[in-house]
Amino acid sequence: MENLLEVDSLATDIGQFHILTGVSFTVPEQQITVLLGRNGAGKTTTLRTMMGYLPPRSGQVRLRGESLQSVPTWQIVRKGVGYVPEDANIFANLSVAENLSLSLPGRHHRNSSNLALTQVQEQFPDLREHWQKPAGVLSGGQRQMLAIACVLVGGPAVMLIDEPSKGLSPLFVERLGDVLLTLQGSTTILLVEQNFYLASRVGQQYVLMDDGKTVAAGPMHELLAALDLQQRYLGIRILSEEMNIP
Amino acid sequence: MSVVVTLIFNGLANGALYFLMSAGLTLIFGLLRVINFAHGVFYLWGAYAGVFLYNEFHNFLLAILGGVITGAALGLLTERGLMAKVYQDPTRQLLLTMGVLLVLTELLKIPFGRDPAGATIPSMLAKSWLLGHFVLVEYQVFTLGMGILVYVGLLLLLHRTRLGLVIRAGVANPDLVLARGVPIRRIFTAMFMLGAGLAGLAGALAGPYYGSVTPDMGMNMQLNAFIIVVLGGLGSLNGSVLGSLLIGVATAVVGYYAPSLAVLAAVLVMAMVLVVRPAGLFGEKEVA
Repeated sequence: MENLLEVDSLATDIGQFHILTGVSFTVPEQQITVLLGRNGAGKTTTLRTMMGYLPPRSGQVRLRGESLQSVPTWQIVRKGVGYVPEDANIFANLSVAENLSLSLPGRHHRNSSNLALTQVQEQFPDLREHWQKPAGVLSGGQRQMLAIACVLVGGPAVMLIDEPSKGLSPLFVERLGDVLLTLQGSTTILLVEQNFYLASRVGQQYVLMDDGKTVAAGPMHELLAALDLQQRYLGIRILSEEMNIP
Repeated sequence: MSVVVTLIFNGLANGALYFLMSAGLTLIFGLLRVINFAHGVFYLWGAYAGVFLYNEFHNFLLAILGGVITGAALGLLTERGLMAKVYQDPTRQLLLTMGVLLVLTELLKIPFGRDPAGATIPSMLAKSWLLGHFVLVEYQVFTLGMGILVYVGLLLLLHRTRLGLVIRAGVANPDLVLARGVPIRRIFTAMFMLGAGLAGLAGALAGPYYGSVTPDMGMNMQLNAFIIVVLGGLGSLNGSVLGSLLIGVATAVVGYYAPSLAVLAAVLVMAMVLVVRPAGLFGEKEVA
């Protein structure tokens, strides 16, 4: 199993604040790696630094061994790193079809573009119904689906998805999980997620962050068994302790 | 009655020139969030380039093209050389664009002087017709036609091309455009050049329209263009069209009966609209 992305000793400042102080992990190919941690642990900053929106103070991000240092965001995307931001991840003023076509290559690739759009319609039937409507009329869940579809049509080597379940109803979180599971095994994903249920359902690898640095990483089943890590870094209380069950 | 019809038609033709000027200004604001005080100087240099080329070569098409290219080239130099460094700083943008306006206006006086230079309407567009008591001037019809042509062209650009799609997306969220793999900085430059080129076109058309060019014409036109952009709604192309026609007609009618009150009429129209709709006729953040 080859590592597609490598993050090595990443440190990032925002203004005078040291937000990331030592983030290191790898993202194996064709697996879903979940980046976990409490609020303020630095997960979103890690993704924004990886995408080139924030300049790192030190450290490296490598895609298939190639450094992404000083590469502008749009070129990082063209090299194959798709990014679904946490908020404002669609263009509400554009139609669903326009949102998707913005992610497609130019008209020289019209056949492959049409194929990609057809696949999106099959994979996201909700979007097909609203194809020509402004994306602003979509529900929160449909917006997340559109945001993910927008990145998928570009055919990325790896997708960075920032907390897609935020603000969604349990039903949509379930459907989101289903969509992510269909991508499991075919697409490489680095998923930032607060919802531990969703994270453990779709994730095959985990990376745990706390206070701007990585504190643990490994296969998801190991984290599921490590109750102390869950308690210490994710604030997940152990039911048996709460209820004084011997 | 015929006087009123003639004045309204004059106003519409004036409005077409105002539109060419304000369209660029509003598109630049919509995408780049830059209030460009240098816009008037693109118009000014476009006007002088048009007059110079027409006097030298007697080719009106060349004069128009020269105006557009001069405006676009100045836009390119301003954007790449100066604006790119201050996109995050509105105060510096304002000072810098003001500086560009003043410096380039003064520079123009070195070869052309302070006095007005005559600009003639090409003979192929110099006809006029008397329809009853209503005078129809061919060059005004041509100017109006150019305004309509540019408006339709901009609508097609914004709604039928990939560049237009990127522009509309960039107005809403430039960071997300980057996340779609689009180099938005290049789009900023293209937009700045387009806006400046349109101002240059307005200038090249304005010389023969007003019969002369003067170094002050950039500043005067800029004032009207700002009134129109605010009145129509910052960033709105349709707002610019409606605002241009309103101001064009208002200044033509008031200017006929009380020439000294023409500028006041434009400001009053803007004030009245803003009282009712503080964000302008078409609000904010709309492109076309």
